[in-house]
Amino acid sequence: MRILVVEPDRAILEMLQLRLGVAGHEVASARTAAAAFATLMRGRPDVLFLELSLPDADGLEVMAALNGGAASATTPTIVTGARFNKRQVSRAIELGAEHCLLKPFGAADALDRLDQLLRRRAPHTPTEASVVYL
Amino acid sequence: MGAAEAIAVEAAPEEPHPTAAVRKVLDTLAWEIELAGARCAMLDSVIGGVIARTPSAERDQLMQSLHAVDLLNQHLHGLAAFSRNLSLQASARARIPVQAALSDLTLGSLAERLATSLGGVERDLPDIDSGDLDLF
Repeated sequence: MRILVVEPDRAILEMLQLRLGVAGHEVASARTAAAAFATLMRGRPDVLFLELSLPDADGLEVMAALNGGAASATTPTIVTGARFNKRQVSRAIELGAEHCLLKPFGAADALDRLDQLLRRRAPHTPTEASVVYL
Repeated sequence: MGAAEAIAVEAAPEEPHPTAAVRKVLDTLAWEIELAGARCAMLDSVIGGVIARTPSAERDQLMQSLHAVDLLNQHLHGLAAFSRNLSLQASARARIPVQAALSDLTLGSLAERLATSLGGVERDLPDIDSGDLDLF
């Protein structure tokens, strides 16, 4: 599974890279929206871990650009953030986010959400977004 | 606010010992411990791979190492959860000086990450246009 992790915090980014790599996934990473776009130009990931608050853009802008504004074309996405307001959650769901994972979370939480997402996607069926407050 | 009071506020000296919110410090520690745990998990995976290629008669020592790494992984996982939990319970107003502790760190990358996370300026923040990126 090709996973793109977009996360400005180095410790969190490296932790996710290592955990996902050990779990057998191919992981690409970016710390800014611009870097994320550069990666996306080279191919669409199977799953996206996306931090809401990026130094150069709102993470949801990355998602909107990736999906062309249409949830029907979504890359399965787990949106992470230290806080979410209702507007952000609505927008994330509208853009096709499957989970909004509130920080702080542990590696096990991230892997668990990924497993849920992959299980739901296994036979391709429409999914229902969820918000998980830990 | 009178004029004299306004001047006094404006002239207040910079904070001599930079502080960080205890909540933020504990949260940052939790992420660092998680990162150490992820490195441990990678080591666990590597040792597991080596064991698979090692003749069974020579596996005992490697198995002990694998067990030690597994215990370390669990230990770190517990500490990260503990620190995260404390972070969520800490008063939002409580602050602690961090500069001296940061200055004593000898591992550069760790010091850099902590300083950045606790409110410092990241010295090598990537060019926003290129960013740090690892491609597939």
